[in-house]
This record gives sequence, C-alpha cells and structure tokens, in this order.
Amino acid sequence: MKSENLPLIFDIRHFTLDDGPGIRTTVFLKGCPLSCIWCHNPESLSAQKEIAFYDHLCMKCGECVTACPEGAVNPLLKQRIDRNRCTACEVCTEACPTTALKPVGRYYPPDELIQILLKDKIFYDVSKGGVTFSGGEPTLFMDYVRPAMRELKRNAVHIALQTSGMFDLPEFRTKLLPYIDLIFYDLKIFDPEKHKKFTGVDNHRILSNLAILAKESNVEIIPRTPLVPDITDTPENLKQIERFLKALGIPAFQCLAYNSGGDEKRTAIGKSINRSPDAFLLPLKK
Amino acid sequence: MSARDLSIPAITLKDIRLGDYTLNTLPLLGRLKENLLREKSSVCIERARYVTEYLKNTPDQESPETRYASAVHFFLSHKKPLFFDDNLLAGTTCAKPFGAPVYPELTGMTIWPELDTISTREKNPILLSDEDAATLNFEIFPYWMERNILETTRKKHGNPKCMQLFERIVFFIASKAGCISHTVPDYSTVLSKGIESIIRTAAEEEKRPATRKLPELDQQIAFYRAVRIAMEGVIAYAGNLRKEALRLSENEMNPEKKENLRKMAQVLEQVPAKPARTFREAVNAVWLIQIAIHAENINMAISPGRLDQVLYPYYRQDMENGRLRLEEAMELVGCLWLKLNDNTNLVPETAEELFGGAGTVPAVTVGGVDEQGSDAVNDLTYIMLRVTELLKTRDPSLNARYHYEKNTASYRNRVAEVITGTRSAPAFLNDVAIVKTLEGQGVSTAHARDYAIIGCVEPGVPGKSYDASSSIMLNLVSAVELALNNGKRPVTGDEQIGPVSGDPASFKRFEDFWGAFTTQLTWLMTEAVALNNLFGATYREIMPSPLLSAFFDMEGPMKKGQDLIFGGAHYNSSGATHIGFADTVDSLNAIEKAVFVDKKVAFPELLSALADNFRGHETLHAWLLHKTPKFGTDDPVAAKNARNLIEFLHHFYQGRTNYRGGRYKAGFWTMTNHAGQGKMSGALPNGRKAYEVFASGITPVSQAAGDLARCFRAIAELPGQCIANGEAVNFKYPSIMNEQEIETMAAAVEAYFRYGGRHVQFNIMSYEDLIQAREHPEQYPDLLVRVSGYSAYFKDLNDAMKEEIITRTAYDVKTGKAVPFPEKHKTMLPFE
Amino acid sequence: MKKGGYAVPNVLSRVLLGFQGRKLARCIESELAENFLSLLLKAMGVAFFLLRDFRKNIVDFEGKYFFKSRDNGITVAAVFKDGEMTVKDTALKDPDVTVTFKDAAKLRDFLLAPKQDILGSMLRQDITINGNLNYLYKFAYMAKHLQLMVTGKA
Repeated sequence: MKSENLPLIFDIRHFTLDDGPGIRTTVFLKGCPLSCIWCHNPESLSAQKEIAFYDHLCMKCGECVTACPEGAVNPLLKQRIDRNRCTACEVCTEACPTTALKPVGRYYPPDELIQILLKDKIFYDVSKGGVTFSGGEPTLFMDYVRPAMRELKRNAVHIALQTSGMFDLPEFRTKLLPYIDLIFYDLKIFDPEKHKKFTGVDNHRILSNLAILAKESNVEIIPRTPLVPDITDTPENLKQIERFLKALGIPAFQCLAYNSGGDEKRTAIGKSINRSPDAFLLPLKK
Repeated sequence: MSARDLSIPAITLKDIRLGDYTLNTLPLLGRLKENLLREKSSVCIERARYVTEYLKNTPDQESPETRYASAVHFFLSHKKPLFFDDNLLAGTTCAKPFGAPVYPELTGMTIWPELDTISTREKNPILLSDEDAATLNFEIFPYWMERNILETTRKKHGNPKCMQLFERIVFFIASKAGCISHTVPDYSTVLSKGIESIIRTAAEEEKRPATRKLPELDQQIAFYRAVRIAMEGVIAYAGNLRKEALRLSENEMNPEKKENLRKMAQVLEQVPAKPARTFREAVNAVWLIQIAIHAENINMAISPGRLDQVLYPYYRQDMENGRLRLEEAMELVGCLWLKLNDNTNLVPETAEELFGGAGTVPAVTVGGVDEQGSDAVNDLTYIMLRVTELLKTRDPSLNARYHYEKNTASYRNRVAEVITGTRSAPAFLNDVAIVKTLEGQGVSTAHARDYAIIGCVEPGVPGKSYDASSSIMLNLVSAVELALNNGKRPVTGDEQIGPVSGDPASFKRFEDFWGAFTTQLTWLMTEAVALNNLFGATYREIMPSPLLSAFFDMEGPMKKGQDLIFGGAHYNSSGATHIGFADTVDSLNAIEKAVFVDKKVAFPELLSALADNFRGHETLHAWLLHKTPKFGTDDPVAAKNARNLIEFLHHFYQGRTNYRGGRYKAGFWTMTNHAGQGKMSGALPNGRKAYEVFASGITPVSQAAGDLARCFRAIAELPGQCIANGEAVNFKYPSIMNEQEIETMAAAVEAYFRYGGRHVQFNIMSYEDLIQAREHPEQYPDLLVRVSGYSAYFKDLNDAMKEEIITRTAYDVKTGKAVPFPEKHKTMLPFE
Repeated sequence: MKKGGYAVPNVLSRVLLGFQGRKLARCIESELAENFLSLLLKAMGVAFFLLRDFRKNIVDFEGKYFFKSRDNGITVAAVFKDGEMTVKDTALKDPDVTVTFKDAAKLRDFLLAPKQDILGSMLRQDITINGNLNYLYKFAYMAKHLQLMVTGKA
C-alpha cells in the first residue's frame, strides 16, 4: 500500500485497561461513517489529516506564523488556523516549540504498525490482554486492518474490535471476522429516526449486522451504549435495546458513562461545538 | 540444620495474606511501633568513648587487626546491657532507645561545630546531652583529629588532587571517608555453628605450624587472633545481657514481663555462642550479630539479606514440633523489624541537604529462587511480607525477589498487594536478569542465585562477596557541564577544573561533543577511583574488619586467614553509582538533535541560554523541552545515548582494579543525592533549569516519559549486564483501587521483567497526596516514601527531595498515561 | 545552667568579657562584617583568659590556623600552643588548615550564621579550605560556643 492509500491512525495507546481484557494496546483509526453529535473523539470523524491547536499550550512565540507556507496561521484568529487555507502540511507543527500545534493522524505502513503492536506482546501475554482496533471506524479500512490482525493472530494475540456496526457484512465476514476474538458493538439509539438525527445515519444496517452476527458467529459480542443525557439514556431507548438484544439471545450490554472530553479536542481541530440546544444542558445522570 | 526436605511443602499457610493477623491480634507489635514513632533520636557516644579510650591507652605495638579487634572487644564487653521496652529480642545497638552512634574514625567529627545546637536544629534534630557533648569535645574528638580515615589519608599522600576534587562536593563523593559497611554477611553459618566454633577454628588456625612465607604468616596469625578477640567481645556482651535479664526478671512484678526476661536469659545462654536450636534463638542471634557488626562497622547498609531463607529451617522445625505458633513467629519477626529501627545515622546539618531522611538501610531480601534454582518462597516469606505490611516502618528496607518462571503468580500478586498496602515497599527485583548480571561478574550460578540486596539496590552474595557498593557517587551532570565549558563549570566559576576538551563551538559532529564529554568523565572517574584506592589502603592500616570477616563464608576470610579489607572474601568488587543519569542522557539527546541534526541552535547561543537559565530564550527552552528525544520513550536517539553511556561507564570501571584485587562496577541509584547535587548544578540542555533537582536513580526525567508501557520497555532494554552495581527505578501510581488493579500492576511488573527490567519500586500516592503531606507534615507523621532504593519518612526529607518525589511522574494504572501535573503547582517542576 | 559541659559565664564574667563580646555580638547581628575575624579572635582571646572552662578547649591543643581573604587583603595566623592563642597578621609556615574567604561577611556566615549554608559557601567558593578539616571543625565549635555565650543564648 502506498502512503496515500493508507488510512490515518490518530493514536496508538499502550497499556489501556478499558478496551477489553488485560493490558491492551489500542489502535485508533481516523475516519467514521457516523457523526454522533456527542462524539468524544471528534478528531476521529474525518479521514483526512488535521492540525490541532491547543490554546493553553501556546506560548505566543510566532514561530508557526513565519513557518506556514500557506499563510494559514493567523495570530488574530482565536482558533489560530484558517482552516480554508490549511493543507495540513505539518510545517507549523514542526516549528511549534511546544505541543500547542499537533498533527492529528499519521500514516503507519502495515509492517510498522505490526511491529509496534507486537512490541507490547509480553504485556498481552502476562495479563491475558491483547490489541483493540478502535476509531473512528476500523471497518472502513478492512484491507489495511486485515494483515495486521492476521499477523497478530499468528502470534497468538487476542484481538478486539470496537465498531459502530456500519460495515458491509459479507466483506467483514471474510476479511476480519476470522481473526477477531471480541467485538464491542455500539448500539446507540434504537429508534431509526432519532438515530439518523443524532448520528447522521440510518441504523438499519447496524441492527441487522448485529442480528446476523449473533446468530451465525461464535465470536464474543459485547454491545455497548454510551449514556448521553436525554439522547441515549432515555428509559424507552434503553428498554428497546435490551428487548432487541434479548431476542438475539445476548444477555447483557454495557452502558458507558458519557465522556464530555470531546469539547476541547473539537475546538482544537476548529470544529464548533454544535449541539441541539436542549441536549447537553442537563448534568450527566447516574 | 539440613537443607530443605522436599517432601514437606514450603507453604503451609492457608491464607498467604495472613489477613487474620493484625496489630490488634498482635498487640505487642502495635505497642512497640507506637513507642518507636514517639521516640526522638539521640546521639549515642558509648561506642566512640570505649573505642577511643582503648586506643588512647594502647600504644601502636600490635598489628592493626588485633589492635582494632581489641578496641571493639573493649567496647562490647563494657557495652551497657539495656532493655528499653517489651521487645522479645535482647540487645540494643545503642545506649539510647533510638540512637545515632558516633564513629569518630569516619565522619563523626563533622558534628563538632554543632555540639551546642544539634539538639535544637530545625531539620531532623538529634538530642545530645551537655555531658556527652563535653565528652566528645574534650575527650573523644581531640584524639581523632589527625587519625580519622580522611585525615590519615590526606597526611599520608600530601592532600592529593583527587581528595581536593572530592572536597568540592559537586563532582563526586568518595564515600569511604564515611563508611565501607554496605555488605550482606553470612548468618547461616554462625546460626548453625555458634560463635564458639568460630573461636575454636580461629585458635586452631592461629597455632597451625608455619608452612608459608613469613610476613604473610604473621599477618594470618594476627588475623586469626583478631577474630578470636572480636568474637570473645560478642560473647561477653551476650553474657552481660543475660545477667541483666536475669537480674531484671527477679525484680519484675509484672508476670508477663518477668517471663519475657526469663526467656531472653535462656535464649542468651545459648546464642550467639552456641548453635541456635529454636526460631526464637535464631532470630535473637541474627539481631545480636547485627549489633556486633555495628560495634566495628558504621551503621550504614549492613544488610541481613535473605532472612526468609536463613531462618526457615528453625521456623519449620519449631512449627513441626508444635513449639511455635504462627502468631509467635510473626511477633518475633515483627520484633526484629522494630529492633532494626533502633538506630539512625548521625548526619550534620550540612549533609542533610545531601542525605537527609535516610535510614540505616539494613536491607532484607525475600523470595526468588534457591541455589538450585527452585522456588524459594516459603511461609516465612509471607510472614515477612505481612509483618512489613502491618508495621510500615522505615527499616528494614524490604526487597522482594521475583523469578517469573519459578515463583507463582499468587506470590507476585501478593507482593504487589503489600506495595499497595504500605504505599511504598517492598521493591521488586528480577531474579532472571540479576542472576545473569552477577554471572557476568564471574559469580558462580549457585552463588548468583543466592543474591541479596545490599543497602539500596545493589546485588551481592551473602557472606561471599565484599562489594563496598557505595564507594563512589559520581555526578554525571558535572561531566556534561565540564564538556560544555571546556573543563570549567558554571557553579565553580572561572577555574579550569577539568581537562581542556575543546571549545564546543568548534565541534562539527555530535561525536565530537561525546568525545569531550567522555574525556571529562574519564578524568573524573580516574580521580574518584584513585581516591577510593587510597582510602582502602588507609582502612588496612587503621580500621580493618576482623569481626565482620568472621561472619563471612568459612571458605573466605577464615580459610584464607585474611581480613575482608585485605581481600579475604570469595568475591571482591567496589561499586560506583551515578547521579543525574536521565538528565545527562536527555542533555546529550538535546545537543545531538538541536545542535547537530536539526541545527536549531548553535553552541554559543545554547551556552548563553544555559548561562541565562533560559531567561530571554523562552522559545529555545520550550523547543528543547518538547522537541528533543527523551529517555523513557521509544525514541531511538534516546535509547542509543542511554546505552552508550551505560556501556562506557561499565567498560571504564571493569578495567579498574580496587585495593582488594576486585573490579569496579557501575550502578545507578542516588539516595537523595540527585536532589542535593541538582541544587548545585546549572541549567541543562534538556531544559532543566538551574538549581533544580535531577531525576532519581535511573528513572526518566519527571514528566518526560508520558507512556508507562514504553517507559518500562525503554528501561528494560538498557544493557543490564553493564549495570552490575544495581539501579533504582522509581515509579508512582496515584492510586491502586482494587484487586484487578493490583493484578494489573503485578502483571505489568512481570512484563517489564520479561523485557529485561531489573528493579522497580513504587510510591502509591498522587501529586495531591504528597503536596498535602508537605503542607501539613503533622498530619502525616509516618508517611513512608520510597526515595531511591530505600524508604524514608516523608517529613524527614529536605525540601528539594520532597519536591522531587512530588514531581515524579505518576501514571494512571488504567490508561498507562502520565497524569498531568497540577497546574497551580507547576513551578515545582524542574523545567518550569 | 550548663551548656556543653561549661559553666556559662555569670553576669560578672559577662561584664568582663563585655567590651569585646559586645562588639562581636554587634558584628554578628549587623550587616557590617569587615572586622569580624579580628573581633572574633580578640573575643576568643579574652574568653580564653577569663573563662577557665572555655580555656579547657585549648589546654593540650596545638594547632596552626591561617585565615586569608581571597585578595590577600587580610592575612591572620592563629597559633594555639601551651594553652595559649597567639594571633599575628602574617603568613604562617605549615598551617594545619588554611581558610580562604571571599570577604569577612562570608567567613562570618560560614562560621556563625544561624542557618549555615556550608555546602553553598564551599560551592560558591565563598570559602575554600585547604588542610585538615577537623581543625576547622574544632575552631567552628569554639566560635559557635563563644557566639552563644556573648549573645546570651548559651
């Protein structure tokens, strides 16, 4: 794969405990078919490289302004970067003496990725941990993820996938499923219209993919629902999800506390915090 | 006692946690611990007085060995038999319940200027009575003015250059002026044979007809005679203790106390003169020998070693015979732990800045494998872990060996649990890696498997290796500064101190700077080694160790007829340790990247930024701080410079021979010197500001390594074979909440060891906890922290050291990420 | 009251010690330190003369001290022998210890500041010491003790 055909990875986290059993390394791929308004990883939405600017880390030295070949860094702008001009060439992030300007997304050739993931193998082995592919949506890049998963499996590494369920099932079935030990499957909103309203896409495929996988595959599936105040945490939504899963023979699902950490990152990559007026004003319900 | 009978399981405990045993069910330990925390330290002049009195009145006609042994004998046989509390073990280090003994042969006289004020000084006062102050001033110190190790050496060699350099303090510390100590004696032999048997052996050897050359023979005879004299002193002290115990028991009305005194007298009738027969006798014998060793050697890192192995035969036999109950065994171990806390160091106010808060670091090592390579964990291992967890005392410094192929996961997890409970101890040690390192030093496999920790982190073989592991403490940063300034150091002004190594502005490649740096380093190490060898020679003349020699392996000094200080041990070495490792590596990285790879800055500008402590160079400072490679990440430049530095030091030292014919070894642990030396060093290319602390041990710079897994790997991948004198890796978790997190922590340690890591120790405390403890010391009287190889009460540490511990990177055990340092305390960070 | 095994000077002795002592006390507490060394040695001399207990410090003591400022503006030799102290403004052959100080204030702080920064003093080369440190420790003890007496803190 040539570099321009590679997907971007916006983070590789080592030693994570919350993304599956044991000590894990989690790969975050950049790009997502959904655009949930509460997304706490807003930098995962676009599949394109972006430049993040963190105001509180900026020492106002002006190195970026001089460095930018496009004239896209404007000290008068609160967001610092004129996103219409920025080509994400990373000249400014190189010049920045602090980490106020940071590139979001990096290309990792498959071999390099595999090497990085296998370096942590002893951590997986001693803790019954493994690797988790997350995002964004990893299934957008099955041809990239597949060789990595294959190589990990060959080295007896436990593999987990975090997915929104928006994938082409036949392709998923042949390319990734054989390597996966555990799927964290997001079920956000059961009602199709609300799902579309808050995530931008219809949930028909998500539900049907889960139904089929649950029936025909032995892979462990843990459905997950983020508890977003007044959007996903309503009693009717949770009840509907529970009923749906029961029918599929899946006994339980995980509810995740809503993480509002996305705001800072959203601002950093120049996206406005765009919410429906009544959605987030209420405090997080327990 | 025979070796372990394999038919009997080593673990008979139903619950390895011993959760049913607490300070409530063991009230004696609870009471004794409260006493200990209440007790204020006092200067104890008893030993100094008797040793001085003897030497004053005895002209120099004998051999140094017999002369010194006689002085020690004189002291031991006059030493007051004292019973301060209800401890089950007889014997005290000092004539004070919590004593700081004076060793005028070494650095005891540094408190002379303070005799009037030491009781009331601000930092760690030590009580001294007017009478004792007068005795020191008029009788003891005057005798030693020309005679202590430092001045004897100075006079003999005409105040040599290496000594003057040492006295600048900021380049290296030649610890021998203050101690050799730092060793693990052999307790097993003396427990199983008794001191009388050592005396008999010495007497026979002394009389053996001459078959060897004369001068050598004279020395051997003198050595055996000295051993006999010293051993008789130990027996005399035990005899006096027994008489006193009997006397007290006769007068005692309280039946429990009466019975305890009576039992102690019984124990003393047997040990240490004759072989120990019971667990209680064995434990008390260990304690008496510890006291005896301190009659001769300063109370610094005389380490009891593998007590779970040494005492196990006695424990097992008593348990099988039904003579001992579990709680009694725990009480006895607890009593020994508390006894090991009955003395402290005598530290002058000035040295508080460098060493403040250190205990006497008697290291105990548990777990791991035995000489055959099998799992050595036994009931006593778990008893010692539980007692440590319950008592949370500063000493003994506990070390848990862990062999990831031989020891069980439940042992591994239990050690992690104890760390969580005490929030700081024990340290974890990797058997696989350390055995290999020792083998690399020529130690046989069986001996290497029996290793125990000396003092902080240095591996030694009990009773077989005499390692003097704390001989040299060298400030690596001083070599960086000398190289940057062509042989001068900003803190010492315009004086040309080191060799001329070239104007950095003329350097074309990073290798040129590396060359200048290693030129300075080589010069410093050469001076430090030279001075250590001079000091070693002085010890031979005035302060040999026949008593300690007798508690070494019978194949060593007792067979060779040679004192330890003359090379009598089976294995000999001298240890150097290095201060400012991570700051040095990161400074090398910064120079390589900023000056030579990215050409971001030229030397003249970098030097002026350093001279200005980065004032007016904020952009450059930020760039150096954030954009240059850091040790503790997976950056290949950082890994290369770290490796090269360690290998360079190792190869230098291995090529140097000490006064006992052993090799020098390199280590990386810093006690509190990284704080003290940091306070005396200028700004560095890695962005550390002037007069701020350095990172501790071999630990990455605070906040520089944001990712725990990569940090572990970076340290693990260092060339462990080249770190023969041990290393301290200090980590911090803000909290460990539950069993799952304990298991994760334990698993992470195992992974780190499987990658090659050798040592790690933790503080389970958040930034906020520690800041709180600094602001309200009265609320945290017994908060123990792991410094850099030993534990200390946080309140006793000097300010710089407190700051260093507070700013050490804390990692969230759930995410493996560094927890951001609290914004409002940022100025505490060494680069802010 | 006893301190360090001495009888502390009574009011009479303190009056006798008076003049030099007061001057020294003032010097210790003031910003001006130019005459510190000569005041210290004079007060010491008076104290040795008047106070038997203090004199005990030098009864069997032989020691040669050479103090000099870095610019050689001040050179003072203090020789202890036969229970007496002799002070001269000249150089000295084979001193047991030579103390070189940047200026008198630095020497004063080195010996007598309530919170002595001995490391800092040596590091900044405010003070450099050449020779037997134990002689310096003994001198520092005597100076400190004298200070405590004349400032009434002993």
